[in-house]
Amino acid sequence: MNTLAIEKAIRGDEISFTTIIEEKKESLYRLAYSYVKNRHDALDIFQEAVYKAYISIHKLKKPETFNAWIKRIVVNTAIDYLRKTKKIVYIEKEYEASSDEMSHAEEVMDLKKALDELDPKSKTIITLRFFEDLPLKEIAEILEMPLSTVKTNLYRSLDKLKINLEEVDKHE
Amino acid sequence: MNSKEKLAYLKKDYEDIEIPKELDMCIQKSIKRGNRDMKKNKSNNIIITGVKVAASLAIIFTITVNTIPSFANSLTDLPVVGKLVQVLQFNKGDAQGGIITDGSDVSFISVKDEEKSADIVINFSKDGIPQDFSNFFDVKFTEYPYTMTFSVPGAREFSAKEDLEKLKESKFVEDAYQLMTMDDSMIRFAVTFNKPVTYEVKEYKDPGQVVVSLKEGEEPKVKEIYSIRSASYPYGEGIGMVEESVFGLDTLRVLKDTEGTYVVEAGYFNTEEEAKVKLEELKKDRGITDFTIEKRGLSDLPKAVKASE
Repeated sequence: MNTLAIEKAIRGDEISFTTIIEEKKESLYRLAYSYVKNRHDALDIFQEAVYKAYISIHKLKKPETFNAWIKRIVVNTAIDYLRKTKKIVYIEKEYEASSDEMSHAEEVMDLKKALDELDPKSKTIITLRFFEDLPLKEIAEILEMPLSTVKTNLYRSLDKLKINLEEVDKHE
Repeated sequence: MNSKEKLAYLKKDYEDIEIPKELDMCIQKSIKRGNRDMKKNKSNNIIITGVKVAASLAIIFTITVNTIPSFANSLTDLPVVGKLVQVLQFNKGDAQGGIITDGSDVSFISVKDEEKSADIVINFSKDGIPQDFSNFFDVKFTEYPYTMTFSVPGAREFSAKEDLEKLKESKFVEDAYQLMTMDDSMIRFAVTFNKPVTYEVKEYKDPGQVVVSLKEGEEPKVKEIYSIRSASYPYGEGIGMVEESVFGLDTLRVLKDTEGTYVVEAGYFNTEEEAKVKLEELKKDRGITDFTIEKRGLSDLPKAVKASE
């Protein structure tokens, strides 16, 4: 983490702000994309989030919390965006498995649809945990939720997604 | 394929999300917009840097207003200071108004009773000062029991929460309570009435206010309905998650039950048959298992039903 650049950005240095955002831009964009699944909306969310970050970074007290802070802004902006544009997160199931044995592609599609059907907060926890590989403690910091709530939510989601925890590496 | 492999596929999809070339330009656009807005609000910047002063003034003002009942009511004695923006048009008991924003506070709610009517006034602030315009809001009127559900997306604070108790002093109001919202950037509350009401909702600006005018109305012909409702949950994530399970239904509402816990209602119908059909539909589409059908009268609250865990 480039603490010096973050401190400069907090004091209003535009170039330093650009630097620290550039370092994270891909991860932030992918996170935004995961909520809306298309480039246009993802860019809208990304742009709005960077704007919000720029006008409020002077309030950031601890530079070491920058990573969680900027991710939180993206998550909140994405969830707000979904509400404002009333984008329904559910995707209608269009097909039924024709036989008991599903092909690998169908199994993955099933999981994908189930993931999209989760409420925005639960989906965020799954995305940050399994796709961004963040520890639960950091996820709790980003979402400003107690660690126990994040855990409960995660296990409930894994249940809904029919994911067997034992088959997946768990490192906390 | 086991869970690990399935997740690995999804993770690869995630990592493969293409990064658009416009991303860098996006960053610059955001910075430009930020610079422009901060310059435009140069006078407000004084407020930003002097936020401690403004906040303490706002606290003094709020405490004074809220602890001197006559003062609070006398505010609504004054003719409404602001400019009328619109009289809301209702569609199936639902209407929206205001302007989309973020980080607001639903700061202050008052009620003033006249002989045969009452006015509920909702105020908005941002960063401790009254907002010029009304926050975007959705207001919905329902019956069985008579309820007004008020949602404010973009509000993150609810200083008016303590005012809800005082609303009960009105002869129209049975109860007023906050609704648990999973979304941190939305404030919701409900007001139940103890008699049939007709309503008119007006939106004002300079300052932003929403005025709900109530008059006694006629009792509807249908005296009982059949409601599809969940089990009862205390205020908290429990009820929030039940609500998420029927997210998107436009007949959805959350009510307090006879014991002060909360219930999600998917909708209500004139006949038990209609309710049964809809309940089967919901079971099939959403996989919900613990909603039941309850018969209720005009002013009945849902009964408390323990959740089976």
